[in-house]
Amino acid sequence: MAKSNFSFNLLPPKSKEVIAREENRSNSLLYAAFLLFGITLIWLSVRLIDSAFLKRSLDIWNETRQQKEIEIDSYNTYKSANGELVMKTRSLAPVVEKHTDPDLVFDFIDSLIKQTTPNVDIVSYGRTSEGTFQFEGLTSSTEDVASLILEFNQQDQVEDARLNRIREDSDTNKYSFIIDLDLTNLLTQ
Amino acid sequence: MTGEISATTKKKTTSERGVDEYLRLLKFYYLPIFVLVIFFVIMIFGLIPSLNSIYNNYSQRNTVKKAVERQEVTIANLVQLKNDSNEINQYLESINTIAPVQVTNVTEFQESIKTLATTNGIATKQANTRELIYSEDGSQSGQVSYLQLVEVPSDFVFAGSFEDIRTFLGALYEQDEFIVIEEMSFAKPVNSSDWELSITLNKYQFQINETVLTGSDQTAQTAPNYLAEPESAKPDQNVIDFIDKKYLNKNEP
Repeated sequence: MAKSNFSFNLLPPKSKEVIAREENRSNSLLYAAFLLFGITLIWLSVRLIDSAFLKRSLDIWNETRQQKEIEIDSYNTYKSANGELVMKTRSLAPVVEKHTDPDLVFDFIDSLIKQTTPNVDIVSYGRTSEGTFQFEGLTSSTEDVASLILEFNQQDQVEDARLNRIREDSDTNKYSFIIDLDLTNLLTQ
Repeated sequence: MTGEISATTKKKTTSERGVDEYLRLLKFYYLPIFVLVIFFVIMIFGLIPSLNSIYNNYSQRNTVKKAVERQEVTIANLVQLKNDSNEINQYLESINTIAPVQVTNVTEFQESIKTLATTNGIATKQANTRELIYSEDGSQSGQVSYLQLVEVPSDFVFAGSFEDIRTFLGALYEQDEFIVIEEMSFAKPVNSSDWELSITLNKYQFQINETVLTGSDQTAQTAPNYLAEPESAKPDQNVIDFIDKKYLNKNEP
């Protein structure tokens, strides 16, 4: 089609100032639209990450936790048996410590006396409620008593050996003595 | 005066012009401003809550993940308990021999001790029963134990030869029934050919500690809450060693 040679405009031409302002407005609109588009895109991406990944992952973990809880509950019989064993052994621990073989004590005391002070006669053995063992002996010399205490204290099996009492019998000229022994080491060996 | 009025009118006109100019600019830029307002609305009511939600979900997910990891450790411990269940039951059976959950028949107990004495050739001169002693509960500090260990003490006086009494004491220690020699005096009285053994023997039993059951608990809690113990809790090793040695005949390593 041929271009018309008769084109004319009745409106007055826009001033340079108006053209610049309209251009400025147009640019502002473009930047604002970009901002709007950008933030919408970011918002949608965040929503997508939240719902498609995080919430889903959270749901999966929650479900796993519930399943594990059910699994844990299925072991209650074994847990209860272990709980019973733990409670009872805890209660029995101090009692079991008291359960000792008296023969072990008699043999230990007898053999040490025979080796070190054969003149000493044992007239009694005892055990106090605190767990200490004691024995009463008769001898004609106080030196025997001293060396016996020394000897007991040198033994690894003896935690502590102490003279409880010593008394002289004027009729027989003999000394009666009681020695207290803490034999924890011997009984826990 | 006329000059002042004229100046004010002139000034007002300038100010009105300024307002007009702003309104004109607002009309001219209404579209970009509207878009900016939407931008802020989306940011305040959309993006920020979404970011907050992401943060919350992420923290919650991590918390649940850690809980699941703890559960896995728990399950591993429970599987171990399941594998050890035969052993645990064996120990519990032995503990029921040491201290049953029932009332001990004291008369029967005394008779069994007297019979053991007679078997070993020693005479029973005296046999008395004392009141039950309630031991302190074996629970860990801060916890209430529903299980209480009760001591059943009995006093005996026996007479016999030194060797026979020693054999009797050895037999007491060796027998399956768990008895503890609480106190003992083994002496030869003056002017007597026999030795005399004064002994206090303790038997033990477990019973429910009713003092901790109050109000509605009395109906709800009729048995010890063994599940309250964590699955990682270990039994007392000294007691286990003792049971191994005395009841299960296991050799020490």
